[in-house]
Amino acid sequence: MLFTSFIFLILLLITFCLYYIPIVSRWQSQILILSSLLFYAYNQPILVLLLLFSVSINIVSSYYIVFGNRNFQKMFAYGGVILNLSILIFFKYSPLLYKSFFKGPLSLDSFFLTLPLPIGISFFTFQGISLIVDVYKEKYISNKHLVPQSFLQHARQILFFKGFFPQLISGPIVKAHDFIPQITIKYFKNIEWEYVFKHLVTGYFLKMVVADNLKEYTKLMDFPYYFQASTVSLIVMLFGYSFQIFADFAGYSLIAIGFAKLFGYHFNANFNFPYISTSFKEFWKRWHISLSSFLMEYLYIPLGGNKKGKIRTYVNLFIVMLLGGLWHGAEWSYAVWGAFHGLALAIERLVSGKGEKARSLTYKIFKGVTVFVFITLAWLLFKLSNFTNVIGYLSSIFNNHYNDSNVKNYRDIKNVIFIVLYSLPVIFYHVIYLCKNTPVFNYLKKIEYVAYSILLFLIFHNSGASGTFIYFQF
Amino acid sequence: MITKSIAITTILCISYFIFVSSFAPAYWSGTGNDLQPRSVKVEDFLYNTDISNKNIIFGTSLAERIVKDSIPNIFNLSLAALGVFDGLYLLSLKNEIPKCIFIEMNFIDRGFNEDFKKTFSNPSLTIKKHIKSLREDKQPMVVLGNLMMNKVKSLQTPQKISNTKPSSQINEIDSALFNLLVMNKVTEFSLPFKDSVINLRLQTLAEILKTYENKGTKIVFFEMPINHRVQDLPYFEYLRKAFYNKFPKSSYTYIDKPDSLKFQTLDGTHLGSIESKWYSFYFKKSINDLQIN
Repeated sequence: MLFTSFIFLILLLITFCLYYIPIVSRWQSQILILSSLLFYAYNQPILVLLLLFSVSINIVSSYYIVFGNRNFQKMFAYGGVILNLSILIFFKYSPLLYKSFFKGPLSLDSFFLTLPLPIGISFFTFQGISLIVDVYKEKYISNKHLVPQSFLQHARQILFFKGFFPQLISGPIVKAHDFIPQITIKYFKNIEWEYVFKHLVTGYFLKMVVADNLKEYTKLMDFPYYFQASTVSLIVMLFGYSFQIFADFAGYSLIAIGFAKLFGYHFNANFNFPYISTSFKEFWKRWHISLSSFLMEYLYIPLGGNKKGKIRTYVNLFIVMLLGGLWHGAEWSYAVWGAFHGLALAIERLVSGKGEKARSLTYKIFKGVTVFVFITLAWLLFKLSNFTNVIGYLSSIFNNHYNDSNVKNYRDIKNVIFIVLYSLPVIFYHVIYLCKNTPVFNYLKKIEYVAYSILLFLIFHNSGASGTFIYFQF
Repeated sequence: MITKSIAITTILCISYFIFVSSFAPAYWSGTGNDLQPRSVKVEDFLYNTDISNKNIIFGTSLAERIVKDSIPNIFNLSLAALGVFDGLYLLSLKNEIPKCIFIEMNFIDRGFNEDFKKTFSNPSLTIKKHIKSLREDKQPMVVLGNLMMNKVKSLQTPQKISNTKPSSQINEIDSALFNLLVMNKVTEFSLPFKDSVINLRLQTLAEILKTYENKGTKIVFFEMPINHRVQDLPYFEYLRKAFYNKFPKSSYTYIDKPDSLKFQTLDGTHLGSIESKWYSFYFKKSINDLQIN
C-alpha cells in the first residue's frame, strides 16, 4: 500500500480513530499490528506469512537469549542472525547468485528467476538483526527494557516493532534499543501536531511534487533514449536524478516519521541535508542515517572499526560499503556503487588534510561541489543497473554534443527546463538550511506558515503521476 | 501555525479555481512530460467530450500516432504505455454509446492496467470533473515551464537550411541504434508467446464489444503497420489468425494493413511522423470507403 493512495488514507483514519479511544487504549499496539498487517498484505497477501516467519525467528531467538539456558545463549544469537540473513539471501540474492554462477535446467531457471521479492525485506531483516544483537550484547540498553518475562507480551512487542507500518516497507531502519522502550500507552492530548504537520507536508511535497514529476523526465536516461539526447540534457538528467532520489527517499522518510509521531512514536531523522556535505564521510552521516548508523554499529565496529591499524580501517570501510551497496539491490551494479563509495571513503581518510587550507570557505565549497558531482555520477549505477548502459550513457555525454546546436531538439530543451524547475525546491531546501544562522532565516521562520501553504497548494495542484518509491525495491 | 497554513491554502485553492474557471488566458494550459498528453487526453475524453454519435479509436502508442485532426468526428483514445482494454474501461465510465469503435489489433495481449483503473476509481475522478483547476493541464509549474520554453524558443535564431550532408557520425549512430532496436523487437516477438493469454483477452474483448454492438455500435478492427522485418513474426501471425477466428471477416469489418509500402518505423513498431501522416491518410480513406462518417 502506498502512502500516497486513497485506500491508505482510509486505513489511517480508521486506525487513528480507534487508537485514541480511551476505552481501548490497552489494545493500542494490537490495533497498530492489525492495521500494519493489512497495510503490508494489501498488494501481496501471501507475503505476510514470510513477515510473520521472520518475526517469529526474532521472537524465539531473542527470548531464549535472555531466558534460555546460558550455555545456548550464543547459539540462539548466532542462529537468529544467520536465519535472518538466510531469508534475505534466499529471497533477494539467490536469483542474482544463480544467474551469475550457476547454469541449471530450465525448471530451476524459472524457479530462481521468478522468486518474489518481498517488499521491505531488507528493512525488516536488519531490524531483526538489531534486536538479536542488542539483546545478546546488552550494549545499549538492559535486557529488562527489551524482553519482558511474559513470552506473549514479548511476541506482541516484537511483532509491533518489526511490523509498525510507517517504517515497515521502506524504513527508516529503527533499532530495537530505540523503539521497544517507547512502547507504552499514548494519549491524544500528547500528539505534537506541528511536528506531524511539518513532516507530512514536506514529505508529501518532496515525494508527490518533486520526485514524481522528476521521474517522468529522468526516465529518458534509460536505454535507448540516451542515444538521442544532447550532452547538456544528459548531464542535467543525471543531476535531476540525484535530486529525484533524494526527494523520493527523504520524502518517504519524513512521511514515515510524521505518521509514527501521530501515533506517539519517535523515529530519528533519516536525512540531514546530505547534499551540503563537504566530504564522503559527512555525506554518510547525513544520507540514509538509519542505514549508515546500522552498518556502523552492527558491522564496522564488530569488524574492528578503526582500532586495528590504518590498513585494516581502509579494508573495513571498503567491506562495509560494498555490503551496504549490495543491500540496496540484487545487481552487481549496486556492489560497484558501494565499492565506489568505500574507495572514496578510504582515499578521503588517507589524504584528509587538517591544515589552514582545509578550513577556508573556498576550499570547503570546492570540496562540497566535488563530493556532490562524484555522488551524482555514482547514482548512474542506481538508475541503470546494466553496465553496458552505464558506459553507453557516459559515452553519449561525450559523443552527443553535436545535438546541442540542433534547434529542432525542443524535446531536449523542454526536458532541461522542467528538470531544473522541479529540482529547484530541493536546492532551496538545502540553501535555506545553510542560511539557518542568518537574520534572513529568522525572518523566514516567522512566516513559515506561508511556505507550508504553498507546499500544500502545490501538492493538490501539481503532483506527478503516482509512482512507487525508489527504495521499495530495496 | 497549522490553522494559518490551512487557511492560506484554502484561499490559494479558491483563488486558483476562480482564475482557471473564469480568467485564465489560453496559454494557461499545457503539458510537460511525455505522459501528460495522455492524461490530458483522458480528462478531455471523460469531462469534455460528448461521444454519442462519435467514432472512437482504442489502441496503444502505435495507434496514438494516427493524426486525428485530418479525420472528422473521431476521438483517438489510444493510450501510450496502456492498451485497448484501458480505453474501453474509460468508455464504460461514460455511460454513452459511440457510433463506431475502432480496435487496434497489434498488442491485444495487454490486459487492464489495474493501477490506471485505480486512478479513475478513487474520488479524484469526481473531484476533477467539477474542479477544473485540479486537472492535469492546469498544473501551475507546467504552465510556468511552458512559458519559459516559449521564451527560449523566441530567443533562438532559426537555423539556415544547409545543403551539407549530416556528419557520418550521426548516420552511423542512428542506423546502428535503429538496427539494434529492430533486432530487439525481432528477438522479442520470435520468443514463444502465451497463446492462452491472447485467447483470454479476445474472449474478454468479445464480451465487452457485444454490449456495444447490441446498442448499435459498429466495430472495426485495424492493424497498425510495423517494421517489415517484424510484422510477420510468429506472434503477429498468430494474433491475426486468432482475431479472424474470434471475429470472422464475414461478420466484422477490418481495415487491413497497407501492403503496398514497406514501413521502417522509428524502433521497429512505432511510426515516424511522415509514416504517421501517410497512414492517417490511408486510415481516413478506408473510413470513407466504409462510409462510416
